[in-house]
Amino acid sequence: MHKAKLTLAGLLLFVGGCASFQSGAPAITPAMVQVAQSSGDSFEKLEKGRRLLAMRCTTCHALEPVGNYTAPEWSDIVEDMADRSGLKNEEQREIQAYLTAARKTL
Amino acid sequence: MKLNHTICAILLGTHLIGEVATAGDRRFTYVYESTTSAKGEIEVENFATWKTRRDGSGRANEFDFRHEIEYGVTDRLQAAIYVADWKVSEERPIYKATAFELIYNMTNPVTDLLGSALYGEVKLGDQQFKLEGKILLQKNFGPIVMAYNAGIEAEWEGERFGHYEERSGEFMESFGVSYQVSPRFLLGGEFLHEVGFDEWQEAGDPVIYAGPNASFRFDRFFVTTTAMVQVTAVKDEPDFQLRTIFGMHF
Repeated sequence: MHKAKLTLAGLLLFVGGCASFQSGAPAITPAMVQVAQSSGDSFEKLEKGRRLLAMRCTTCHALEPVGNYTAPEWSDIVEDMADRSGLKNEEQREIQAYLTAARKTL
Repeated sequence: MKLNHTICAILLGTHLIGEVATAGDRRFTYVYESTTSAKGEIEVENFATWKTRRDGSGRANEFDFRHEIEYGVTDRLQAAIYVADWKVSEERPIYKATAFELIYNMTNPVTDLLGSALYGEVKLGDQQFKLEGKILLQKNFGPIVMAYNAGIEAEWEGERFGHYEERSGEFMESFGVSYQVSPRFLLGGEFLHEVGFDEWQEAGDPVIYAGPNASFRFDRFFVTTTAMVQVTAVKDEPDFQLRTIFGMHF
């Protein structure tokens, strides 16, 4: 019984931990899609941007919480990192669109 | 002598690849992460491993080296060639094998519940032929990355190329955890568990290693190093290993 309680506590901590660390790449919300569409971007573009962010940026470093920078600051950061991470121009725009939408709906 | 000149030429060639982008700096030296290079990206990594064990009243030392070129075939599929596995024994370099590796990424360690990838390697040398398959699992929790690998290796060995009389197998699993102290410095630890099967019959003694690791990132290269101590007491296996990977993007 004691082991079962410990296992359950560990699982809860794990799931809670997962949730709290999602802020670097938050899930796409309807509000984010609305912000994106007002700039001519689509849900698919946001999805691709989120996937690129999670896959490419995390190979070298942890993701910063989206709220740490403004949308214009995020655009500049992505541009600075693009060369080192091998991002093509279109991939840069996809990540920038995603981070802008995420930041504006925080 | 001719083979050593060939090895030197290959090593020099790996350093003359044109401007490329990084495929990702490795946090671990024994454990593989589940993420792969982006399509079209190339990265060169050089491995150096020092293994030491008690030998009578003294110590036996072995220095192993590997030189890898990774290429992103697609956003999910990464191919690599280990141009040369070689070692220094009795103060002279000895070529061991060349290997080909494929890693296929299935899920993402940030956006999915668990990151995962499949790993396969074929190694061929003068006196050995090996096949290896692994599952790579990973989860990122902000600045903390945890990775787990489990796999099986089949090996055929012999006195000369194409004549491999001895067969053996090995089950291995490894675990690593890394914490990003700063964007350029990461600290963590790795764990390795191996069990050999001679002639695929009886299992040998399990060998377990554990130790700390550190990773340093610079603009054009990274260095990751792990020190592992054997926590079991298997006499014929190294009691200490130190591995360093030096990765470069040109």
